Amino acid sequence: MKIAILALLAPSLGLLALSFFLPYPRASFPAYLPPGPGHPLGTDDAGYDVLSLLAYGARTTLGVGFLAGSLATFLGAGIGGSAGLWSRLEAPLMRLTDLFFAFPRLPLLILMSLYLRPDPLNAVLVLALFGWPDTARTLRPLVAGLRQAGYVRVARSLGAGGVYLLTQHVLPQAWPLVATQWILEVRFALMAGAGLAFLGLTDPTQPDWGVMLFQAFNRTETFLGPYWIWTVLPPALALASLVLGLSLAVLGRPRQLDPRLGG
Amino acid sequence: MEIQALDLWKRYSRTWVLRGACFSFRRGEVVALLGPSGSGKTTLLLTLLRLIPVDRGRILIDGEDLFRRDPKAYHRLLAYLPQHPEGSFNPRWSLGRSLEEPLRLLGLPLRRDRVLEVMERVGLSPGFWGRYPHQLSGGELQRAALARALLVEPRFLLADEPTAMLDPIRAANTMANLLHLVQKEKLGLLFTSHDPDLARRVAHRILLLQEGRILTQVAT
Amino acid sequence: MPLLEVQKLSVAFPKPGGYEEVLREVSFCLEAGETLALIGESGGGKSVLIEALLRLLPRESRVSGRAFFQFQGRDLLAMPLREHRSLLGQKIAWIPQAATEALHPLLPVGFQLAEPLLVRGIPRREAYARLVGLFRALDLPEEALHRYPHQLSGGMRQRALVAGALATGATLVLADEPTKGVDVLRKDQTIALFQKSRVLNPGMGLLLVTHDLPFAQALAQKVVVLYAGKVVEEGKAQTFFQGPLHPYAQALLEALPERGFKPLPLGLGREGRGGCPFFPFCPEGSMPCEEGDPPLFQTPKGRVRCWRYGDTGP
Repeated sequence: MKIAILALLAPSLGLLALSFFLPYPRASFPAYLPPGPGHPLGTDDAGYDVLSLLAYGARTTLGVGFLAGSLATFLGAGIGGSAGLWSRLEAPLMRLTDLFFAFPRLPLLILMSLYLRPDPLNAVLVLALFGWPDTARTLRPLVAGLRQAGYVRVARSLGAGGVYLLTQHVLPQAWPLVATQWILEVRFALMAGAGLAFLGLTDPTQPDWGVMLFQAFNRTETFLGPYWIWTVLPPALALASLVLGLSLAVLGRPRQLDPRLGG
Repeated sequence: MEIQALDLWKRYSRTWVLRGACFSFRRGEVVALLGPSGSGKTTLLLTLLRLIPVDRGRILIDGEDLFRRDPKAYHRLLAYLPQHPEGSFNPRWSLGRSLEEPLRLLGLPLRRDRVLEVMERVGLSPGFWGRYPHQLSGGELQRAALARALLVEPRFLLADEPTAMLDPIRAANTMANLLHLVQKEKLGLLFTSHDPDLARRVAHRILLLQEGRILTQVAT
Repeated sequence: MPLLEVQKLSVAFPKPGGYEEVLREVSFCLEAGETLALIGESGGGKSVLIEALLRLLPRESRVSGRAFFQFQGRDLLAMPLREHRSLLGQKIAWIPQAATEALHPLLPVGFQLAEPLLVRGIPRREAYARLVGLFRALDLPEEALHRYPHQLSGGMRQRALVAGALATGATLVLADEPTKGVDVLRKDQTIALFQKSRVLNPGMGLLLVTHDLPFAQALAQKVVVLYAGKVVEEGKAQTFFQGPLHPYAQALLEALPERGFKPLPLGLGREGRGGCPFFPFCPEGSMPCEEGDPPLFQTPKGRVRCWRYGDTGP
């Protein structure tokens, strides 16, 4: 299983690495060149080398995905952990969580792109800002349960404060849960980011797998000829393998840990 | 040295669990806290340890509100022995690390030789230092909990139902160990229990907690 | 035939390097209308025995032996799982030990306790009426039925479980430390409740696993003592509590606060020594004890696994 996961994640990471060795894509080649010498994946409708696009696109797509996912998880862990640990904070923080939870991220992303500059950073912000509630909700009961743990009580009886408990006892136990949440958040952010690009709501001049698909689907000839094979398949497969790899990585990992067991 | 609890009131949501509980005990005394389940015995113990704040009332050491002045000194005086020793150790920490924790938290010097000496006093060989909780038996964990409590050189031990989960022989052993230590180091022991026979056997005084108040009795 | 006849029940759990035997050929009989107290050290396998009868042990464990249940005269351990399951909550009731874990945290207490009755077709009103009656007998407020487990104290949860088991009207009740965490006042009520249930359900057999000796003394007619996974003494409760035969049982009674509160240092290091497992701690040990594990000897007062009774003949 681990091999399968690695095999699925490898192409994306490989492409990311490749982006440091290839020149920035320029529309300097003839359009629709099929895969061949000099262009292992051919060129697209505007004459960009597909491989270069794929490699540099990895930067944006993966960047947005991992950054947004990480930010959301970090915020969620902090808020959920605090709510679990300090009972006075629990109610207000959880209501806040419910509030943010109510906002669906995808429609918000679309709205955002209509009113703001189509900057990937904005996408990251929206995804993170409305993505943390899930982690917070899942983490809070675990932390609250750990608070009752014998060793936490003992530490408190010696004067341990919230921060000590959080860093020394709670987070290490909560780690597996947080890691699982992180993978899920990243996965969502990846799809959301690529999806946004696919809808044409991001800056088309920034290389991105979603943008590649957007361009390809915008051309009528893409599917009338063989062009889709090297303009649609590479970004689609890259994205799909990445998402599949992440999905397999969370398979078998408990998402909802029984708080009474404390992990 | 004496602990005084004056007029303690504690409420959970709507219900008043403690209603003006008053008592005191001193070093060298063994006091049993009895009461029906749900009567607030554990709550009382936890308020003394400052794990739960009281809504009203004061807790004084030799007449002084020590906690306000110097919380670390306060925590050092009162050691907690929780009811389930098995659950009172972080499963990911080695025993040594768990034993050192009180020293770290209270800012006391981390002297391994001292820790090993206390371990030996409770009957744990130095080899236990690197072991993990799941590798220890219930009895060993209980001794480890005792070692951890003694490391900070407390004056009072507060034990929550030390014998509730044990068969008669182990219960007798545990109490014998506790009493032996209490005598040797002149500690004050306050323990909660369901068992009046045990209390009568072992305690100098019995405090009965009923409806949030204390009615005292004097035993042997 | 007896209500429950256990023959040579053995249970072993896998551990690195082999198996650890927790129960070794335990045999005893529980008659209808009788209370049998199974006593022994904490973690000594008493709960495991109940779990074996309930077939709740992990798949990796090794179970052998037989347990014949009077209801159809069949072996509980060998019958198809589905049939075994249909007996639970109907003919066989279980009062589990860890009340905190036994109750579902997200369902009201009454709902959970009524479930075995409702599943059988007993109308809701009657099921709840039964529970209310039992709750009252145990000093539990009726509204506790509508509360969640975490809203009740540990002792209250334990009593709720007792009520739940008795509400099923089962003929075989397996009680695992029903007084754990229960204070003295309520213990008396628990005793009264079990006695009353006996009156209402005369054929009820109660297998009481406990180390609360006074509680056992109040209820039991027969006592079986387990040590190191084996039966070391078996006899009538009355004679047992006046004077047990096996040194371990004697130590157990002497350790009670009201009978001396005598400690007895018990360590580990029994395994692989050969001889009687209690020998290292036994105040009366002598040569044959070191060499061989004794068989169960029959004496006028009951059976005991100790060389001191060897000359009365096996």
